[in-house]
Amino acid sequence: MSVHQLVLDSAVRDWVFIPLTLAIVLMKLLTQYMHQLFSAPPPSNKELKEVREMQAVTRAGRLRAMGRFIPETSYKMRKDYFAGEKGLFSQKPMTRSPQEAMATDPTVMVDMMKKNLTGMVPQLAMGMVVNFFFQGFVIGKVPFPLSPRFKPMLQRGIDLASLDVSYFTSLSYYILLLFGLRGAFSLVFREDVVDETEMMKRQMNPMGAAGPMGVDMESMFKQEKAALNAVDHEWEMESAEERAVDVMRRAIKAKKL
Amino acid sequence: MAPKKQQKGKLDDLINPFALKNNYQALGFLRNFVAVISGIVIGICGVVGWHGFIYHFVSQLACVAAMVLKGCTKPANYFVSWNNLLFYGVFSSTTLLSYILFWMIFYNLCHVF
Repeated sequence: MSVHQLVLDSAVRDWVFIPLTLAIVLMKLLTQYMHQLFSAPPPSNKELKEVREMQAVTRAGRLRAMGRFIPETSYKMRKDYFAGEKGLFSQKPMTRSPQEAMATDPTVMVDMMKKNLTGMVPQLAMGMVVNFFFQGFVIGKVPFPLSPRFKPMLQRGIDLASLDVSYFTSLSYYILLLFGLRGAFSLVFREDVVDETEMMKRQMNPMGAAGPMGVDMESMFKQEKAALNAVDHEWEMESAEERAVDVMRRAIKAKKL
Repeated sequence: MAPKKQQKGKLDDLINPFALKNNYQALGFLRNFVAVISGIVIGICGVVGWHGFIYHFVSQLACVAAMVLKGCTKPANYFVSWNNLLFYGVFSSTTLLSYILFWMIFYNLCHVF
């Protein structure tokens, strides 16, 4: 046998390894279910005008994309409604910018608080409990050899310089469990289980994704107006006959050959 | 197996987004499952050392064989390309970490006791 083969007491197995694993699995199950219970979609608190504005932007985009199916006068009428002098996009939009929305709207705050509470706090608390109860001893062995740089990561409370790096303590085992059970849980729950990593990503760019409020409506109005004015209109019916002739000529050529 | 996505020759590919997403989800699920099971088996066998990871990649390749058996004879029709089928989710952190975790748990339960 190799020199560094430690013999670990089986009592450690019975009383630490298995109960710790079971406890973490159960805790993760609990948080998952609490998440599902608590994350009912918040009641949409948009006013009529805001909804109308968002839909106007969508309509203008559609007009640009499919403008070639309608005759010229109809297109011009619609374009004038949106982008003309007294058009819709020249008026000041009613939607508040997302910063104001975040500050004045309490439901968004409450939502974020709920998500944080049911997600991070039980894990932190559990980490502290694990650290308190199961401190100072080695709990298992990693099956592959690691470089000594991993020593402080895997052996938090132990200061033995000669102990093999493959042995780890309960706190590092707890963290490994947290990360590893994501995969196993995504097998059981088919939906998105990876809630903590999403939350961490969201915390890193807080203003990146605005909440239920739309993005800055003023700039969107300006963009749509400029885009509408930039596009030239061409009715497809006018060139339809020539295209049909082309297609038929090609078909006849292909049949001849 | 998931519905075929259509392909229209020289014109730009018509891809049915729901079918494609469904296919990838099935592949991801299979890969995850195989990672867990192979981790357990390797742990019980007591494999030690870095070559234990080779078994992980072997089992992920076996997933590709399983997909081919299930009906995906031309991967361009079901996934975007051969490379996507071979390498989607093989190096994703969830499968790797699950494999390591279950390998560790069962190795400890059976061999360090």
